Amino acid sequence: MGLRLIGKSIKMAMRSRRRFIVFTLMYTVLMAWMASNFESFIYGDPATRTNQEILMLAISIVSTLILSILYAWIVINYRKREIATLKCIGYTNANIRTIIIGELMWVTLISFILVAEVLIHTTAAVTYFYSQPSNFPGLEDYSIKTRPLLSIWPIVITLAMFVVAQILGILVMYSKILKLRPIVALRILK
Amino acid sequence: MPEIMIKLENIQKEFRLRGNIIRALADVNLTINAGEFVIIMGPTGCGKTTLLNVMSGLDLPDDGTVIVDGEKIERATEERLSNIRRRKIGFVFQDFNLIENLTAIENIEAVLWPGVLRSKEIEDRAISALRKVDLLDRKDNLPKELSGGEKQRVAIARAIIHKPRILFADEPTGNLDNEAARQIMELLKQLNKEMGTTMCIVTHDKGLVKYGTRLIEMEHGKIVKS
Repeated sequence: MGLRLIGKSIKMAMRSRRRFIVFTLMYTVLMAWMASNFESFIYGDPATRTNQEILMLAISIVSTLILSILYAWIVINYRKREIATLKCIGYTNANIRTIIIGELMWVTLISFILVAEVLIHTTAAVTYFYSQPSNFPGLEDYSIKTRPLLSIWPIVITLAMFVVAQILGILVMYSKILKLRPIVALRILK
Repeated sequence: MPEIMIKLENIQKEFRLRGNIIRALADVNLTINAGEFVIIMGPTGCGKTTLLNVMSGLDLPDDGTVIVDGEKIERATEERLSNIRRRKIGFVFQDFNLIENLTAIENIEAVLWPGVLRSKEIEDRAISALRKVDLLDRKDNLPKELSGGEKQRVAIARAIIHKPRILFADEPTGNLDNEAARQIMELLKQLNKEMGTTMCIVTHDKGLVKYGTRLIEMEHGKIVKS
């Protein structure tokens, strides 16, 4: 039952194209930024770590939280009537929460795949570029140690942070679902 | 003796509007039997929609008892009301209230998604409901691709897919032209006869009275004719 509702919520999310694309892109950018901040935080030299790096990491975490709450807020506020209608046809608060969790988690997953995909290809392109023999005078012996732009752990930590942020966003907004009365569905649209 | 489907006893309901107290329902007593086709009429602000909301559990009375198909609902929790709605009640709204991102058939199936039925069975039931409202050929259309009358027929199919005992409709023809309104009322009448579903229709259109088996008239929050 829960899986079916999650599946349907993904379908509904994909069909609300504008919202889906906007938030997926925002999440993708934010994820890449947060992952790169984690990268320098985890693998950077602690001796040379600046306050600015720590600040950037903190800002990216706070931005993620704000964006997650904003998304949950938009999903619930713009769909009040739809949620009220679902309550009228017998959906419980838990059913509605499942639908919203499904949509939010789907956007997170797609953003993560996009980030991973882009980073893998960027790494491949950069590695290929630097592995070519150089004809520039003085750079004939130039070589770099091939290393991905982002390591696996910063990406995994970023995904975990996003999932936690989404859950927090949903919990913050869940009271709105509880308070929404089915009678709202009867309001006439002007 | 006829089976009682809805019983209201001494229902009181008040609203506060800009500091004034408005008495929407004043000591309402009403019994509706199974299979009746009830038309609730009255001027704007007489309390007919409030009466429908209280009968259907969408709104709770300040005082009094509401019994729907043997279950007392006036103090029921939201969870229990959801359960009763899912099993026993169907709704048809003036604005159709279809979910814009779902096709006609998905809108109908949505009622059963939280349940335990298999997807194939849900689809079969939705197709059967669409057939009843004669709209099978539009099953894959989104609501924005349907006319007002077609949207309302989808809404009716959604209201009957779970075979409810009672169907509540608030101004179901309010947004339709005369011909579409006639078709919708004929359809509701037919469903009332075929399925035995108790119908409670709120309307201000006197032309719809002929479809009902019983007329309830309201004025100033009271039933003046039943």
